Amino acid sequence: LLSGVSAEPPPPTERYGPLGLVRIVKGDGRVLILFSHARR
Amino acid sequence: VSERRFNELRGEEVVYAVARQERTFLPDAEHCPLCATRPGGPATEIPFESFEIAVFDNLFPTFQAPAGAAEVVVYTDDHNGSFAGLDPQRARDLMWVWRQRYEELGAREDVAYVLIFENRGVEVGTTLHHPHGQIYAFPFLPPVPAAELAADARLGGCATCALLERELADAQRIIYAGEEVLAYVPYAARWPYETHVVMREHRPSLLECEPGELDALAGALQAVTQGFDRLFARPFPYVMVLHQAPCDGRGAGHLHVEFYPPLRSATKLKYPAGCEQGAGTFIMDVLPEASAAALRAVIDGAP
Repeated sequence: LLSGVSAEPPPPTERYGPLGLVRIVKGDGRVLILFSHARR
Repeated sequence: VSERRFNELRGEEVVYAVARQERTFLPDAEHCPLCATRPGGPATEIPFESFEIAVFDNLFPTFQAPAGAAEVVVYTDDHNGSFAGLDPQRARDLMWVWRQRYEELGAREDVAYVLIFENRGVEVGTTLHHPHGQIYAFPFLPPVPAAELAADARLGGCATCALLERELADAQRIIYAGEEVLAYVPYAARWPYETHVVMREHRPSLLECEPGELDALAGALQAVTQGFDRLFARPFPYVMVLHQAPCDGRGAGHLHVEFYPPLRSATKLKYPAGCEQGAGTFIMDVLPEASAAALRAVIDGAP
């Protein structure tokens, strides 16, 4: 189902605020980005 | 792959995305593609048991590379939630998600304009009930932001700044007054409860906002949408659209969020019909001042 998972390095606060993100390439080539609260 | 054709009589582009005819239509909760994937359950668009905010390429895109993009933004893994009902921190997080997508998509060579929006309710054509919005990254500048740029030129400066000053001076149509954000039913509203949520400072897009302004925007949007739901004691359908600067680096534009709710009463819809579609002139059954008074009575933070 997933063909690749890449967690981006800790993002600069001024760009992403409190959020971290993980970028995933699905099996059909579409991109899924999961944003999560970095303070958790 | 979608096809663009220029409609000469209207002077505007029409996009044909015929694969969308087959898109998922009002599935029951057990088959919602925007829910988390439950152990033993059907695979959804999000192959995890829980998530906070998820963005993915639309399976039925109106635009796609190398001529734009179409994305889905899922606000929560709670199928029965709503933007109005999000935990306030989640709503604030969503502002950062919108900002990140605006920045990344807007930097692409094939993107001229980033449209962030939500269609809420079957009355405005939503096909999935799970709380979510969408992003269309246009490969051309569409007519509405083009008209806003024309308004800037006509008024000799930022039109939204000028209209904000007019609304503050008149004060009759203001429905929410925060330090950073003002909301009002505009003087010439085209929908019965049309509402504009406007940054008080001139900010072309989310990128120029201070973190506190993003928090304030989230708070204002939730106050307005919670008020909407109270107005007729029912989930209030709306189209919510972020208006921001085009992505050509000119910096023209003023971040504001417009709501186009179709209800004119608890049970009656305003239809854009003969006069609206045939002549382009909206006929309203209610004055904006009356709409604003009704909304002020149900919105926290109303003046």
